Amino acid sequence: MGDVVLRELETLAKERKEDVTTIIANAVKIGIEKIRQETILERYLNNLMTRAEAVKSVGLDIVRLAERQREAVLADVEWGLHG
Amino acid sequence: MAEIGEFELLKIVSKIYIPKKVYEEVCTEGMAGEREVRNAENIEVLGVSREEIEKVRNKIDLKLDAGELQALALCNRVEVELFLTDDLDARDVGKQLGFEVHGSVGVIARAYREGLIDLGMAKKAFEDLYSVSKLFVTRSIIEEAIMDLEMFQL
Repeated sequence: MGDVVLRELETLAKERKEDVTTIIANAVKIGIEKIRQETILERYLNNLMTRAEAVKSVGLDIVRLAERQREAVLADVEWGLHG
Repeated sequence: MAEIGEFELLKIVSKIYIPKKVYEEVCTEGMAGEREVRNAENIEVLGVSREEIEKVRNKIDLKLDAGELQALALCNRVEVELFLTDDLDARDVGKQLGFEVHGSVGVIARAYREGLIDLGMAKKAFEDLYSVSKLFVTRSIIEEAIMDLEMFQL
């Protein structure tokens, strides 16, 4: 796993003409933002935050996407197990 | 399903029709599942005419990709029991057109119910949808689905 990640990092650094530390810094930044968005959506979907608060924090498009995806997942499970 | 290594679960349906465009997307344009689609015995690839596509396009409000449009046109022609897609827009349109629409989560749940996989494998497949596949889904949504699986009595 470590070797694979290291090789991937080196390939990306070469491809983007950036050093490995810059790639890692960007990866962490992007990863943290993704986790932040997901945490907000989870709080909203678990009724720990209002929709308006979630929209303010991550934007309407992402909130709508999460709502639609949840509806689709639950409908699929219902059909798969009981339909 | 190919992204999470569970293409085989599509055996829950006896026959799968895919339009030419979707076949090309998978087999020549690099989408996941090329080997699986080429080797699947229950998949038939069918062409769709421009008229059939226009007929669907005229009935819908949303803008869909060519592959989804062709798939829906095919649903009209073949009178399928099920339209399988993970695309949320295509899913909405499919329902609007009167089809029973489900995606990867439904296929996994049904495969579990039919005994093709055990509970552990079904949970792993759900988790992989979150951590491996490109499907947009949050961890809590998947956890909710897993809870439903666990509560289901075979």
